[in-house]
Amino acid sequence: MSDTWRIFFLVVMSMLTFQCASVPLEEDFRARWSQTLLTDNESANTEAEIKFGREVAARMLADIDGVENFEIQKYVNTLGNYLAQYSARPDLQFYFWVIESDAINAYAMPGGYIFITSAAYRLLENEAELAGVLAHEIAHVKQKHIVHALDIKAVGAGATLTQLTSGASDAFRVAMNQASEQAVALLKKDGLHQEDEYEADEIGLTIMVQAGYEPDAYLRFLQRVAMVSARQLEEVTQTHPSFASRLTALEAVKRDYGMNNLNYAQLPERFNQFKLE
Amino acid sequence: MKNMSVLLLGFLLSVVSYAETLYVHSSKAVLLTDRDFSSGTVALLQKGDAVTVLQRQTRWVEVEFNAQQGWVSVLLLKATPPSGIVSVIGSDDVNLEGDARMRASAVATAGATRGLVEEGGAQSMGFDFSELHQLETMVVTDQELDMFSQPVLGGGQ
Amino acid sequence: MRIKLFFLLSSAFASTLLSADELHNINQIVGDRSIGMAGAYGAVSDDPSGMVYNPAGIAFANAASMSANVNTLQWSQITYKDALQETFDYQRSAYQVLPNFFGVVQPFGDVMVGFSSAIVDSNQEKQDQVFDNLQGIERFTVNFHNIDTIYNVGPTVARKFSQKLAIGFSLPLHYRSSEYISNQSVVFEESNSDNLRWTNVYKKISEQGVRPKLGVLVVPIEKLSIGLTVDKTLVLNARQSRQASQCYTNDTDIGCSDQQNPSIEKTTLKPNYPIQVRVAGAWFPNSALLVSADFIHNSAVSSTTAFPGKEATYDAAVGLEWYWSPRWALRSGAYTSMANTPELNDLATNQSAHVDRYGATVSVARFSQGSSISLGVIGLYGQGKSQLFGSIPGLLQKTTSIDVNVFFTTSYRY
Repeated sequence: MSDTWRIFFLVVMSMLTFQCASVPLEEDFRARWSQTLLTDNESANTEAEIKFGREVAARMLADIDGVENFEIQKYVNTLGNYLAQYSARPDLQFYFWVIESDAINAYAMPGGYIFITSAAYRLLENEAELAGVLAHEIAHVKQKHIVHALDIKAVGAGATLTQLTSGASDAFRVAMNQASEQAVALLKKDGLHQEDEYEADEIGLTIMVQAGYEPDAYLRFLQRVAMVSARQLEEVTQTHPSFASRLTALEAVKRDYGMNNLNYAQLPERFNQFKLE
Repeated sequence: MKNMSVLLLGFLLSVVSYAETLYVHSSKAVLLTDRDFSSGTVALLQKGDAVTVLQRQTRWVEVEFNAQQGWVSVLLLKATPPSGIVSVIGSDDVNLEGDARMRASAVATAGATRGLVEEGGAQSMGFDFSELHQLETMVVTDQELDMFSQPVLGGGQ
Repeated sequence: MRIKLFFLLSSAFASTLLSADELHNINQIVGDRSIGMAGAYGAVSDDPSGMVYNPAGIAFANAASMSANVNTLQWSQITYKDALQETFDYQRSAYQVLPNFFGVVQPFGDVMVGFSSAIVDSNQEKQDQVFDNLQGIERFTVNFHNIDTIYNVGPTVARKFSQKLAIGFSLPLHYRSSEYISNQSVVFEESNSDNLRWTNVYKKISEQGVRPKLGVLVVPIEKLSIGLTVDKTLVLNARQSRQASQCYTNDTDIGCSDQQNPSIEKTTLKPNYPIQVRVAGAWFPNSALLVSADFIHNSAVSSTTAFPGKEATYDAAVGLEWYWSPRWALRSGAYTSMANTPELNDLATNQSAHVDRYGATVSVARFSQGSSISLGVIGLYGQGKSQLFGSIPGLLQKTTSIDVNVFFTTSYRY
């Protein structure tokens, strides 16, 4: 008995000594190699992302309708898919939809569903500007901004997206319902984190440049948007950082990436064939 | 003794270091002479190409590919080879083929999922799945993309 | 010879209340990863299996919710060399399928909560032997069955105070159920004045209690984890009963002359269990390799009128886990299971068996995104001595025990 306690106290004491002399830890050394399976871009995660995106898209479409012009929708989809080739998300099929709305805005839902409002579309002057807007939204999808903002982990701790979309129980179905409702609120009212918007601007710009579009077109479009009436901008200013700060950041991106004086394509003629009346 | 040798073997194997390989995830990626889009082109990489990392900078990676060296945007590369397009459309059943991870419970609840997601088609419960289906018909073929890209890559105003 | 066999039988009849695997403190190796690592898990412990080894460990679980499930198919054999007339062996063996472990963990705020059910000790022995060629005896038949199982079922809570310190506590219920049946019949040869002797013993034990366990896990230096636990089984309620009957006939007494009507003994005295202290270390050099070692000390238990004492034991386990890809891992380990009984001597009577055992295990695990399965085997071998017929000093049997367990484990994380 006394032997047992002696061993116990000896160990406790030596552990406490260790504890004091310890160094700060950087990463979780306990994580085993198998855990990389959780974070790899596996099809189950992508499936969950798509299912969730469809749910959010269907919710958005309950309030807003698409523009009834097949040629324009086809054109936007072709441009969008051309850009998406440079998104490094080969696992996703992207869909683009011009929706009837007076608000100047565009929305990216998880899984590759992207909407642009008719008001925003009308403000565009060439294909490169449209490419800039779509590339910005593609970047949101690529970075899974909504999923992260809602704190739904596609992987790892907490309720996972895979779990929510599995419909495995009533609880998950309710949670999924709430999550898609929150996603809509995020898109239309609350907005993403400011840093997510800056990130999407940066990544969007590289996507459009890799695809061969003039990056300045996107900056010019943002400047034009900043001029329009406050009413139409209510949603976009509520959900995005100020135009001035975004433009400053974009100039820095252009400089860092060597995007000045590229003189890339803008294609106003082709865009004009698909003008929205 | 035997245990010791197993231990040693495991340790040695795990310590061996490999040159880091990344894979191109965009359909094309330009290998540039410098960390700058206005610099010259060394080569045009295709989706799935494996490149060896030489060094990393904030937004750029210097890589070697087919004995050529150059810089690629870090956004276009990933550590795992690119997968094919994942689709849940058409069958919103849980995909069981080729997915050994899927649990039995997923099979059992596939019907339930369907019930939730596409229930009653149109405007039920604040969802519009019929319009979603309409937009999902907007699939662009590779040929269309190829034709579409011509004037863009032709450059100029 | 005749005298000797008499003794044999009467002493078997009079055996103590001690039941089978109380003779070792390390019995079943439970848990998912832990079983593959021979129970060297007190400093790893970061999944449901950890609740049994070190409750503090679950605070470091790497997914919010995890569950683990283990089933084993066990074969055991114990041979008592030259048990009868210094020629014939006693051999007891058994197969059993055991749901070795089930556990889940789930966070509640800052606290990790878990529930586990483990069979920490299970022993089964079956003997079904007929001896036709003993001297002076026409036929000696032995039927013996002993099954003794201890369950630990209950909750665990753990809290991480920093990345370097966690404390956990588990309070499983202790439930033990044991049954023992022994039937022996001797038909003597005609030349013998004895005719027949028959004995039957039935024993039953049930215990309820708790097994509080306190665990600490610290990380003194990067990649090294140290665990410490202390626990003790407290029996709150115990019931043991023993029925024995026998019948003996010879030429002068026909019928059961030396008849003993079923004698029934009962006791509600509570047995005492040792304090267990586990000191464990684990080294995580990289994400593919993990090496761990546990040192397990069980205190001595002094004897009482109803129960024999136990000696202190010092056991050790070492384990290794190696991933050769994110999808495949090899686990291996070795452990000891030392007897908590004194060495046998030639003068004493009613001595318990003393068999030190050594085990080794190897398994292969396959991982997918949210789950893993593993398949493996444990071998356990020991040699020592027994005194099957406790009243005869100096009559000891060389005893060999062999156990082979095949185990299948599954775990989920989500």
